[in-house]
Amino acid sequence: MTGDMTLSPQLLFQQSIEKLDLMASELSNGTLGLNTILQNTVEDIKTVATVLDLLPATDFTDDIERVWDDIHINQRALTPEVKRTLLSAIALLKDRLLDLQQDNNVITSAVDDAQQHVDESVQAIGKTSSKQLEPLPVGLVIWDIDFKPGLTFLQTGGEPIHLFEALAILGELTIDVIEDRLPLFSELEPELCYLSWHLTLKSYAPAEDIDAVFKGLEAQCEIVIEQQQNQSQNSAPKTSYKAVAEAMPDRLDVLQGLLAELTTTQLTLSHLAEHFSPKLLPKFDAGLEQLAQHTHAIEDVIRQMRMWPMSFAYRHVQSTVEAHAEALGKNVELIMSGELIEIDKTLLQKLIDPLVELACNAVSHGIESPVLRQQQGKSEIGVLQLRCAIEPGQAVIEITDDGRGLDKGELIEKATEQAFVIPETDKVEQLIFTAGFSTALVKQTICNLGGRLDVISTPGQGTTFTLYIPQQDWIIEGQMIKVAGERYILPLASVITSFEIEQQQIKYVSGKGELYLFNDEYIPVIQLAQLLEHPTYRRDYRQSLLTVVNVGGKTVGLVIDALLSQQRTLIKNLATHYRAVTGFFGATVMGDDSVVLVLNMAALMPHYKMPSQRQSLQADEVLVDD
Amino acid sequence: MTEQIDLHHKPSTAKTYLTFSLGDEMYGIDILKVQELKSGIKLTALPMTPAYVSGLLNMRGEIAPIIDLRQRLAMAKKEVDMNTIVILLAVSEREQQRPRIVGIVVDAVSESREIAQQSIKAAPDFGEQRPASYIKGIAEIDDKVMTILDSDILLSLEALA
Repeated sequence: MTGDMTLSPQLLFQQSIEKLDLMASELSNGTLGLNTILQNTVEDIKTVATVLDLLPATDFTDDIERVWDDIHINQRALTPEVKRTLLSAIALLKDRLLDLQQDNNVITSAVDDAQQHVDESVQAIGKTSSKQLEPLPVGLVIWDIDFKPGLTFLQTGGEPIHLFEALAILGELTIDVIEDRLPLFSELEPELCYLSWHLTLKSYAPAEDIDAVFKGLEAQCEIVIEQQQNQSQNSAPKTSYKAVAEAMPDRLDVLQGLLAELTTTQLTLSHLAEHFSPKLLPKFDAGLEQLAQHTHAIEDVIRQMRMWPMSFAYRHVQSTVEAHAEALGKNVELIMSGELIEIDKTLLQKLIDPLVELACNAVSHGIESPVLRQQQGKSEIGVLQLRCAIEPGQAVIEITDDGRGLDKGELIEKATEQAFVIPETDKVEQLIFTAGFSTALVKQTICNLGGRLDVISTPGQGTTFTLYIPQQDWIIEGQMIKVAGERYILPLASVITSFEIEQQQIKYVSGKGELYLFNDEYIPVIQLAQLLEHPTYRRDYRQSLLTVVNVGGKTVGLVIDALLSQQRTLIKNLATHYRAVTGFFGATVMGDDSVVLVLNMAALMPHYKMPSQRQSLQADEVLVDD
Repeated sequence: MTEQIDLHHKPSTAKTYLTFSLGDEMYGIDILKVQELKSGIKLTALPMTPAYVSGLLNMRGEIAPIIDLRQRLAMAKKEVDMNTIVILLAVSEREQQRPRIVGIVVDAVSESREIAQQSIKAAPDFGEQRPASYIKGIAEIDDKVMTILDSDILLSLEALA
C-alpha cells in the first residue's frame, strides 16, 4: 500500500481533489452522509500530506475539521454562513493542493493569505454560531432523544433504522451517532450493537407519538426523551473514530496487503485457467501454493485480531479498584505490568470478573485503612500489584497486595460456621476457596477455564493470588536475533540493551566463567549458540554482539551474531503438534513461511555449562586476542 | 456414483497404503493419515530435543515437528537437504482429540498400493525380540517385503518423548 502511495503522488492528488469536489457538492446539497465524507476526505488529505511530506496542507484540513467539529459536536445548525466558510476553505484547500501538485512544495504567499483568511473565518464562525437561535414556530417542539440500545439489541431482532424512519415521519430528524461504546476494531463482535444515538427531532407531533415509536424497547435499551428547553451547550461525546483507526493500523494494513496479494493470485489463477495448457501446470501449482500461503497468513492476522491486550482487563480492574478504594477511604496505588501481553479475547473477557473480584477483595479485606497502616509502620498508601507473565502453555496473572494478609483464625471460624471440614492447618489459606467466600466463585470460574488459582499469604505483609490460565497462542513484542546462522526471538520486555563486544571488557573468573563489565557490574557472558546446541559457536567475539537480558531478575549477556528486527510476535505453542520444549515459549511463523523459535531464557539458563565445564576451552584462548 | 461402484468393487477389508523407502527397506503407511508430501523445505532446528527430531516445519500456519525416520528406527543418518521428502501425517492418539500434525523424513516416496487386510501378516518374531508395537504387520508386494507402520503409535507423544 505504501508502495502505491509513493509511486503515484499525482494519482493521490487527483483523488484528494476529486474528494474535495464531492465534499463541496455534498455540502451545497446538505445530505446526511456529509459527516462521513468530510471526515474521510480530511483523513485522506492528511495521509497525502504525510506521505508526500507536505505539512502545509494539513493546516487547512485542521481548520475544516475544527469548523466541522464545532458544528457537529455542539449541534449547531449548518447555516448558509457556515456553509460558505466551509466551502471557501475547501476551495482554498483545493487550490493549495493544485499548487502543490504542479510545483511540489512551494508555498506561495497567496496561499498564506488564503490561510489567514480561512483562519479568520473559522474564528468568526466560532463567534457567530452562538447567536444562531431563531424563534421556533408555535407548536414546533425540539425533542432530544438519547437512544442507547443494549449490546444484544441487533441479535434480538432490533433495527435502529426502522425506529429512525418512524421518527422521520413525525418531523425533521437529525441523527448523531455516539460511538463511545465502540471497542477497538479487533475487539468488535459483529453481532453486537455498540452504537448509540442522539436524535434531535423537530416535530409538531404530540409526545405520545414519539413514545409510541420506542414502545416495548425500554427493557433492552436506555431511552431518554426530553423536550429541548433552550439551546444549551449539549456536548455529545466526541467521536472515538480516530482513536480506533489509529490504534490498530498495523493489523488492518497487513490484512489489506494480504487481500491485495490474494487478489493478484486469484487473477493469475483465473488467467491460467482461461488459457490452460498442460505446460502451465507448474505455474498453476505455484499459484495454488501461493493461495494456500495467503489463506494461512490471513488466518494468522485474524487470529491476531482475536487477541486482546491484558490492559483491557486491567482497565476494568483499575476503574473498579479506584472507585472501591475511594468509597472505603483507603489509599491504594495500583501497579500493573505485562499489560501488552495479548491473549484470546474470549478468555480475557471471562477473566475480567475474577480479576475485579480479587482486586476488590484485596482493597476491602487486605489493604488496611491509612491510619492503621501508619500505626503499623507501613506506608499510608497500600500497593496492589497486577502482574501478567507468560509461561509455555499458560499465562500467569498475579494479584498481590501489601495488606494484612489472610486472617487464619477468621477463616477457620467462618468456615466452621458454614460447617465445613477443616483441612490440616498449613493449608488454611485454601479455605478462602470454600463455599461462603466470594473467592470460591472465582476459583470455580478459573477452573472452568481449565486454569488454576493459588493463594499465598503472610500475616501483616500481604496476600498473593496467582491465576494460571492455559493459553495456546499469544502475542508479545519480540526482538529477533541471529545466532549461529539461525534466527530466534527474545521477548523484547527482557532485553535491556545490545552492543558490540569489546574484548578487553571480558574477564575470566574461575568457577564463574566469562564475565563482562556492564554498568559497573560484571555480568555472565552466555554463549547462546552453545546453549542452543549449535555445534559451530565462535570463540572469537570480534564480530559478535552482546545482548543484555534480564533472566528471572538476573542480568546476563548473550553472545549473538546480529540483532534483527523488532516485531509483534504471535507465539504458537509447540505442544499443539508436539510437546512443550524446555527453553522455548513456542515458535512463530514468519512472513516468508519459515518458523522461528521464541526463547525462554529462564528455562534455558539452567542448561548452560560454564566454560570450565566445557571440555578443553582455556580462558587464555578466549581472552588473548590482541 | 463412482464412489458407490468403487465400494462394491473393493474388498471391504482392503486399505490403501502410501509406500516409501528408507535405504533398501520398503514401508507402507495408511494413506488416510497422509496430509501432504513436501520437498524442498527448510527446517528450523529444534534444540533441546532428541536427535531424531529434525526440526520444525510450518504447514499452513501450523508448526509441525519433523521426525527423521531413519534415526527414529535406528538407521544411519542422512543429511536433510532440499531433496529430502517429508510426509506430513495426522496423528490421533485419543478419540475426539484434534489430530496432531507430524512429519516424517523418508528417502523416497513411491506409490500408493491397495492391500487386502488378509494379505498382511504379523511381523515375524526374531527369537526373544518382540516386534515393535508400531509395526502393524508385513505384506508382500512385487516379491518385496513391505513393513506396514502404525503412524499413530510410531509418532505418539509417548514414543517421541
